[in-house]
Amino acid sequence: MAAEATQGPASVTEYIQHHLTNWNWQFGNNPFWSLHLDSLLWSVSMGLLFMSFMYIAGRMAQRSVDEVPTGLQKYIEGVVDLIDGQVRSSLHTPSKLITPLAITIFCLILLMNSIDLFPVDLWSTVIAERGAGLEHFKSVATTDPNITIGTALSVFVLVQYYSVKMKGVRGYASEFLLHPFNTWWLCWFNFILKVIEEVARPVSLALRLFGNMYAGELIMILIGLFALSLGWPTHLGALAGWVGQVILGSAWGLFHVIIVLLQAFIFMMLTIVYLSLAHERTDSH
Amino acid sequence: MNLNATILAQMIVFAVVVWVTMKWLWPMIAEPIEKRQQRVADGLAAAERGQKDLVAAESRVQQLVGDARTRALAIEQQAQARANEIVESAKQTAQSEGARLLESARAQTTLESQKARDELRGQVAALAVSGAERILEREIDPRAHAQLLDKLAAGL
Repeated sequence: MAAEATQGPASVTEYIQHHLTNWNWQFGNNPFWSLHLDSLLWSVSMGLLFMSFMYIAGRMAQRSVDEVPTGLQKYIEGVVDLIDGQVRSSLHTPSKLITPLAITIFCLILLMNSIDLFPVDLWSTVIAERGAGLEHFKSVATTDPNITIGTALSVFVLVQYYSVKMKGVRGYASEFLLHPFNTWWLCWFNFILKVIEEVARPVSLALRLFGNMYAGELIMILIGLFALSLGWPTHLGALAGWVGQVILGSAWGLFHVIIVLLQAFIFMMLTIVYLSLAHERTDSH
Repeated sequence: MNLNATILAQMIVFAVVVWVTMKWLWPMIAEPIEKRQQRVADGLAAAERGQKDLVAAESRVQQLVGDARTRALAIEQQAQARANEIVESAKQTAQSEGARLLESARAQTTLESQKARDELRGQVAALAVSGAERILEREIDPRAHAQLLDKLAAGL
């Protein structure tokens, strides 16, 4: 890793910028009409990985109904059971949507986050730049706010849809207008409060995940830079920088495993909570 | 931080993944698990039922054994009583038979001694007659002296 860092970018700023710039493809006149192809590539491939994993697990489960589950089967069923338990404990009305949605969110975000545990230069420098000739390639999709906002917005849309579906248009409207102050002359205030509450949810979902992963990635890059800054002039310095990067990178990587898992879990838990709130009638209060 | 159409693309990607998972992949996993859970629950219920049956059977066996024991005891007592009865009746029969035999023997003896005595009496009479004949040296007419002789025989 240190070797790539020393041979690659010319300056510290360039190194950081190189790692934090997406592979962008603008297809419209406005800069909004552009796609981060690297983020989407990760998103789609992790989605495919997740789905094939689920498919294999499903085939295994179907084949071994009569048998005592073993190995991978037991592991998958353990995870499924854990998430199903979380859903059941926070949801009063059973739903066919929430458990698979929760598993999908957890696994997708976990997979996308996990890319952060690869060496920082592996994807962007070694594979994308040297291998495929791409100038910019960002490896962790969840450090792209577009991905986290997109996911959070999907959850937001689902929450609104289920709110209307479970409570009816009248119940949904009354939630906006008659809570928390149940008088008509304060309905404008209720409306503002409710809009803030509803908007704060996807924003906090998206920015929490983005912020944590971005910070983690940035620290990884800085650890990579540590080797660069120490090791540039001499071979001895390069060796010291390399050793330092290995130690610091391992320590932060181990710590980062917790963040990778925790952020995926938090995103899933909050989605479950929001959806279970959408299923509940609040007419009584 | 530049926000762009990637958000929309990600929403589509996410929606597709969630939809496919919900529609096909999740049932593939959830159904066998549910089936197996049902089967395990059934098995546990069956095991519990078997346990209960076993306890019931054991108590029934205890009851049966107890019944058999009391019945055997009753039969034994009955047999004892019957045996005693048989011995008693046999004893009685033997006693009465013995008494009867004794009685008949005694009667026969009396009869025979009577007979012997009668015979002896006759003989004594004849002897007396012959003795008297000798003494008188003449014949005694038995008819003439029949009365005398009879009186003699009765006197013996």
